[in-house]
Amino acid sequence: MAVTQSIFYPIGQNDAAVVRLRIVVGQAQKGATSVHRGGTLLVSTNDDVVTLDLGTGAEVRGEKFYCATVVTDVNPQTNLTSVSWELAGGERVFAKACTETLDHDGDSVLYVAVITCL
Amino acid sequence: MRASSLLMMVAVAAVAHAQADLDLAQAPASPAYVLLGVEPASVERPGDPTDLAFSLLTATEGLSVLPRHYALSVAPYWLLGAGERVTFAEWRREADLWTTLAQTLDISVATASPEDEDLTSLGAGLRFSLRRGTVPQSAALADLEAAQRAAAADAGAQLAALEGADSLLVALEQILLAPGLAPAAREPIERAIAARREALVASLVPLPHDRLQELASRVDLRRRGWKLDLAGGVTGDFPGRKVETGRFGRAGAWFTGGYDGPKWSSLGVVRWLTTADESSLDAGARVVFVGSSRFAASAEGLGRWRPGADTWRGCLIVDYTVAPNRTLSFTFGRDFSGRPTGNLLAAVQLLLGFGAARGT
Repeated sequence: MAVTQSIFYPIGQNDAAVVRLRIVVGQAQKGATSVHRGGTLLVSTNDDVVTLDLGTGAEVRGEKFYCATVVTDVNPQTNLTSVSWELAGGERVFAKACTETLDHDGDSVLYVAVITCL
Repeated sequence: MRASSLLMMVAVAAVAHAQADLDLAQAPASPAYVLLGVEPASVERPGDPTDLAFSLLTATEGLSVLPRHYALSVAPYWLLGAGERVTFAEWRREADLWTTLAQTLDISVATASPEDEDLTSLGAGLRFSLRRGTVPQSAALADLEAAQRAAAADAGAQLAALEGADSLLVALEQILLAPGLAPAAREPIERAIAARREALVASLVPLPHDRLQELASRVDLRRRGWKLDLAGGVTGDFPGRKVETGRFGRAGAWFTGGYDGPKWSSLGVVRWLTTADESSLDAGARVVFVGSSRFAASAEGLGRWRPGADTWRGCLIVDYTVAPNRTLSFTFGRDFSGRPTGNLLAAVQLLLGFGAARGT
């Protein structure tokens, strides 16, 4: 089971501004996130809120970032899981949240977001 | 032989009392079930309002009948999607009063019908915390975190490699990134990339679900520190399953609180129960000492006030784990007066467990 998001993020004319990525694992569930730039691992963490400066607009234009988040249902009050992605520093602020309801306590789900900076 | 059999019967009876009354030390998770005296085989736990409506409409045949056997548990805060921005790190810590109340509020509803009576009983209850304590870091949680990190890093690396080797995706991205591409032409290419990517993600090596499930089951989510819980509920009986024949069944309220530490815990309880005929008030406390992963001892005192029949019980309990899921339990003390088997509590019991349980 996987939730997939393709995000096409326009940089516009903001070559000098730093593009910032924020990933939030919600619903009080336990998660881990990795971010790759191409084949290079930038971050691997269990933080529920991941904030990462991807680079300036000029540096990231044309680049792809692979964000993989594994969420395990540990909250006894809900089987709902959610991950949200936010981007700032480009042409506009981007925010998107996805949810997935798991069948049982302890089940896990993979959320994948691939960000292409245009 | 005959004497030992009798002793065992008495012991089992005494233990049954002990177990029933020990539950007083915690507010019930679902007061509606406790007041109805049922342990539902399956409980509906809807994940969103649509699920809730579907469950209610199905069980009541479109709100036209009272279901004979039905159990529902709802946590409104999580059901209504308020948890989207709540992280695990925040949830495991203490929070302010209103956040704690909202996040722990649980509403339970159940119906029950005796097999030999044309009667349905309906119960409703709620439970919430005013202080909830914290979930401590543990080795089991660290193990789960490490496995999750490895799985996330592996999935990301796999996808990056797959996409780099996929000629269709590479070609589509070259078109998308070509200078001068009209904005109107982007959308179909972006859709094609997204569709191709979904296919690649589907071909990734699956997550190690069994391993993650096993590690998650080992995580002890029992909260430590100061706790204060309230629970209450009410039931009604409906002879002939008709609303107009409804009458009050019983009502109850629990107020529990205290300190729950890794070695020592001390919890107090006040419980009030009433029916159409009588009311009773229980109040008491339990102190537990956990000496090691194998040994625990506790002392409990409980008073019961009922018109014309005040009584009390007090006992010492020693638990020793002889093997995984095998605990030898010794109970000694005085039970409430008026038990058919007398009020001496003296029992040895072997408690058998199956599988791993997750604390809450």
